[in-house]
Amino acid sequence: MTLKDLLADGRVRPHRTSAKEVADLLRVVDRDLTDAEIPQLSTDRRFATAYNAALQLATIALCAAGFRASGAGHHWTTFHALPEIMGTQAQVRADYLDNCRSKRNVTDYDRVGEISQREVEETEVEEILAEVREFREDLLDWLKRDHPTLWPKRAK
Amino acid sequence: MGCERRTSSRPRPKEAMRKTTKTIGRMTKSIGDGGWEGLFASRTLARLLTTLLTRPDTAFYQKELADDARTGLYAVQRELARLEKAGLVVKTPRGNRVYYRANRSHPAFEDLKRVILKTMGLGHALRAALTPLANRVRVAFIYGSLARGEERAGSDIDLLLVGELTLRDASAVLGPVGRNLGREFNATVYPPEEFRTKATEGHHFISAVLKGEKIYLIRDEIDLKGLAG
Repeated sequence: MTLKDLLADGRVRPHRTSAKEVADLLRVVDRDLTDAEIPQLSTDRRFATAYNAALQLATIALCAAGFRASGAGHHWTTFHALPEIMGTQAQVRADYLDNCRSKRNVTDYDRVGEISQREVEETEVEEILAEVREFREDLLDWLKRDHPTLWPKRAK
Repeated sequence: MGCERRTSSRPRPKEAMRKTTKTIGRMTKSIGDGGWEGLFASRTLARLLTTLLTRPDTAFYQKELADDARTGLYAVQRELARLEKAGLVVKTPRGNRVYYRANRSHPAFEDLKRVILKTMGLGHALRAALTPLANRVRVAFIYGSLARGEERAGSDIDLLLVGELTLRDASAVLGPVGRNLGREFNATVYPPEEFRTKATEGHHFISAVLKGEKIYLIRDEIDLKGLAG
């Protein structure tokens, strides 16, 4: 589905973002990236936190493109729109993160009471963390190039 | 039906036919047909179409088609006659055998192929997509509502893969299939050792999946049992 289709379906609505909103979202990303590295946390929690950082990064891209996800399945919508916004090279990233979404759904909702049995392995946390760090770099480069007014100058 | 049964050398009574079909239907499991087979005049017809349209470059002989449709020669001959009459199948004699393949130049070929791929041909499409990973995947199967035959239109396709690969590797091949078919995957990947450990420890999710219905995409039950230890 293209952004046009998503708009017609009510899955996204027009949204005017600002440098402040982008900076705020990026702060959430950085907070989550830091938290996801805390070794004392469960791998489930670290995975879910890293996933949230990825979702916020994709949200920044969607905002910069002039939209906001709305209604049911907004995580799916946000990742789904990513390749159209950032270019087809983002497709594998979008597919991977969408799979992480399913995985997080399983750990967050389906297995309540199964906390002692870890769903997520250490290697999977490392995999998603590496992806999110790279995503953050790519997003900042993209913002600087395509949306310089939204680019947070203080971001490293 | 209305078509002459000139292909049948040994017409069987209707009652006996129905019985055979029923037994076969219970023994086998269609891959995520989501009730689509029921829309066709016969299950054999649905399966023939799936085989022929998802592998349009291959010419099949009757016995192959019968094995693939998990039915007898008589039923296959009857349905092939139907398809030939509709122009969807072309017949080529080669030696003393007659081969059948899908008619690519039929005006509805592409559309029909897409319909089949999105519904009954899901398993074929998935197997083809996973082929490049086959040497790294020990076993791959569908579980969940689709495997139980309880899927609804929007159901995710639950997929479990055991092998030397990451979720990102799996996503890279599954993503395009999902978009093509308009379906979403919920893939879980386990390295073989981890899968074995969890299976022997009675891990909740893995135990549930091991007990539940499965549709194998790469290798089968025997490989899975071997992996689970």
